[in-house]
Amino acid sequence: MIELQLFPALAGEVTPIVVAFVLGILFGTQLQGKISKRMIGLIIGLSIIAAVLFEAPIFTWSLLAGFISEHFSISVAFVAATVGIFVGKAFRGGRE
Amino acid sequence: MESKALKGSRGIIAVIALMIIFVGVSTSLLQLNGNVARGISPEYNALAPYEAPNNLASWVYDYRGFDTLIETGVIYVGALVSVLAIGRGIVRTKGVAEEAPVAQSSMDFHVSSLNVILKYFGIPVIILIVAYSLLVLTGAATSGGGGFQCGVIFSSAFLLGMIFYGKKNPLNLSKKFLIGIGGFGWALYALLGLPGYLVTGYWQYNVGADLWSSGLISGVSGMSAVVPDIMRQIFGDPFRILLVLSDGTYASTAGIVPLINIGEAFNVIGAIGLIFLVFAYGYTDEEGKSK
Repeated sequence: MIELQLFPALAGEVTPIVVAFVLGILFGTQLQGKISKRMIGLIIGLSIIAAVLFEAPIFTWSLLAGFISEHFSISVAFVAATVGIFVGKAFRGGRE
Repeated sequence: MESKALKGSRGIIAVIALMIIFVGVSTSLLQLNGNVARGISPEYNALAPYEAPNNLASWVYDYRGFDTLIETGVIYVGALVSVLAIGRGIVRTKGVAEEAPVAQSSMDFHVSSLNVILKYFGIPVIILIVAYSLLVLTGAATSGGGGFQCGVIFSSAFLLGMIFYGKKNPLNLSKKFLIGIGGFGWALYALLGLPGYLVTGYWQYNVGADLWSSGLISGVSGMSAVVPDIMRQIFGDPFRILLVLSDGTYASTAGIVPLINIGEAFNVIGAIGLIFLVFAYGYTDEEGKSK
């Protein structure tokens, strides 16, 4: 068993998060219509709950990758993808 | 098939073909006699876990990378051919071009009169499904995810938006975008074979993982001098994780497998999304007029 580390042991723990964020931006630019701040808050909240349920990928050992303990971890890639979608949406703007 | 179809030259060709198959299969079975060539599978089964925790990803995108590449092409070409053959669209076929594609008056599915739950939870659900598809994609090497699954999940979000909101789908993927992303994905998958070809002579050799010169197989070290360190670092280091197994701890990497999965996902999103879009709205979509 490897102890929790504050920083990633290896890049493979961070790269999926970056990829999820970048692809989130890409597909976020395809969203149309207006989304209220309330709705954004709701979706971010739901994504955090989902991230706890999905857990961090296997063989990740750093806090940055979402690993907190053996029985509790967070899927940071999921939250990064959700945030990326909103960033992409912001690039496109709120036009109908 | 009618018996008339087998008369003449067609019948002769069919009989000869069947005889060849029968003789070939029979002699193969007779020659077996316990001497089945076991192939390379045992070695690869032993190696695959050291490449990616998800053994299936190693098999599908590394060991059988060519096969999957062609399958990916089949999906894209199949989508295009389907669109060309029967992609007139529900709206066009029914002759109600201004109506939402699957909204019938009896179903009362217009946004203005949507069920409150569907109206307010449609957008969050679509966004969360898209995020989930990206999670599945990024977990290709470490879990049961992958490009295929990502594409299918993403397309389901697209379809959900079409059903709920019609042409006001929040996930507004145009034909141009879908065709572009599908073609780009396929090209990315195919071109990821180039680095391996340039340094080893084998297309799609996984230069990042470089299993065959890793020393994990005794007696196989022929490629150790062929793959330069810079190539291993470029394609391997971004995906390197600490693999803790019962027989030790390894800093393994899936190499180009996660990148291939991104290409795969783009291709499947393009292909299936295009099928959904064109089957609903028709091949000659009036995107320009709507704008």
